[in-house]
Amino acid sequence: MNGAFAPDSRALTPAVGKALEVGIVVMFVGVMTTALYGGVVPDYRNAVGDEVADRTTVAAAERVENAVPPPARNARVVHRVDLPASIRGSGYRIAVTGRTLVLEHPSPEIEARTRLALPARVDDVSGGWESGEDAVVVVTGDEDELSVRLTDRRTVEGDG
Amino acid sequence: MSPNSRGQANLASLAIALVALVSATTLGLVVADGALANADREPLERRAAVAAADRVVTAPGTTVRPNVLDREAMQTVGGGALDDLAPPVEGRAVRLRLDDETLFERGDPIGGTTVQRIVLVAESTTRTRTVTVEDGGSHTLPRRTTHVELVFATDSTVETVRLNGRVVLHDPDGLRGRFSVRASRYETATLAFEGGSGDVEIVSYPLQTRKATLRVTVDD
Repeated sequence: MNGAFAPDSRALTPAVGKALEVGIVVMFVGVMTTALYGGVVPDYRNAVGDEVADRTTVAAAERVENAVPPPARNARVVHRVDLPASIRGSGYRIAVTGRTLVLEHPSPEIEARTRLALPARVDDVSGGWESGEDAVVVVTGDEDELSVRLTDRRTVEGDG
Repeated sequence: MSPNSRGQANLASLAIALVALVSATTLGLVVADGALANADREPLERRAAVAAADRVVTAPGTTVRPNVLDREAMQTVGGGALDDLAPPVEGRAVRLRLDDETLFERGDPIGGTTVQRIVLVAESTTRTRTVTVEDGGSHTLPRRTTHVELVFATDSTVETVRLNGRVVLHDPDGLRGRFSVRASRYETATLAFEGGSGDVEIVSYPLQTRKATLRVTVDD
């Protein structure tokens, strides 16, 4: 050992050592943080978000299907639907296109869709839900024609 | 470690500490991965199976009444019909079994999700019996039926037929030929004959039901 670590400059040893340690630890923390928050954590959040979206859509579709009453002359059914307040930390929308429930999420990685299995008596399915609102499904009609509407509790109460 | 390098002895322990930290983090990620994989329950596949089973046991096209399957309609249930009944099944491998009999199979569902429903299977049968009736005679059908057909011989002099006390056929000149009479599914039918005698062929259509297990398997 020569130069900086020559016997004359031996007093520098603790300072250099500490500097090295600090440098290595800072680098390590930096690399770990980048690896975790740059790749692993968002991947997990997307994967879990996608899973939750699937389940939310399936649960919502089952609630809609169960809300359809047996044939009756004058039917009006209001069922509450439990939706998670947010998926992957942000709000989402469940819309109905044709006979398919589609979950729309700001993150492109997360989406879910499922087709509704409804009796032929159901004539029309419309509406949609925003996360965070008091979601209900309203079924109205008679024995030949039913209409299913996804809406929120406040609108239903406004209808009287 | 040579005496010369003992000034940086701390670095060795730091390296070991970092290796330990990396291992702990990796282990954590592996555990998290496993938890995520275990939590994947294929909700869409399960939903398709449940929807198909529910629709098959309730739809008017395949049942006599809810939970009572129509044997004949089940024989012809095909892929298109099943997709129409339960749209979530569309594009998935599916198998529909009634007890040991495979009614319909598309693709090759290995494993997947199976949903079972205990149902009744109704089969319409035809029972024909010929009885000789006299004035005031009656005949009770052993099984319930939705309608009865009566065929009177040409020499019959029966004027009135009552079904559970209600007059359903009446001809003062004597009934002859074939008549169809509606009966109730909810009570046993007793036919009473008045006004004369003759040979009558009674055709009834009792519904025979048996218990069965409907299994729907769906695989993505």
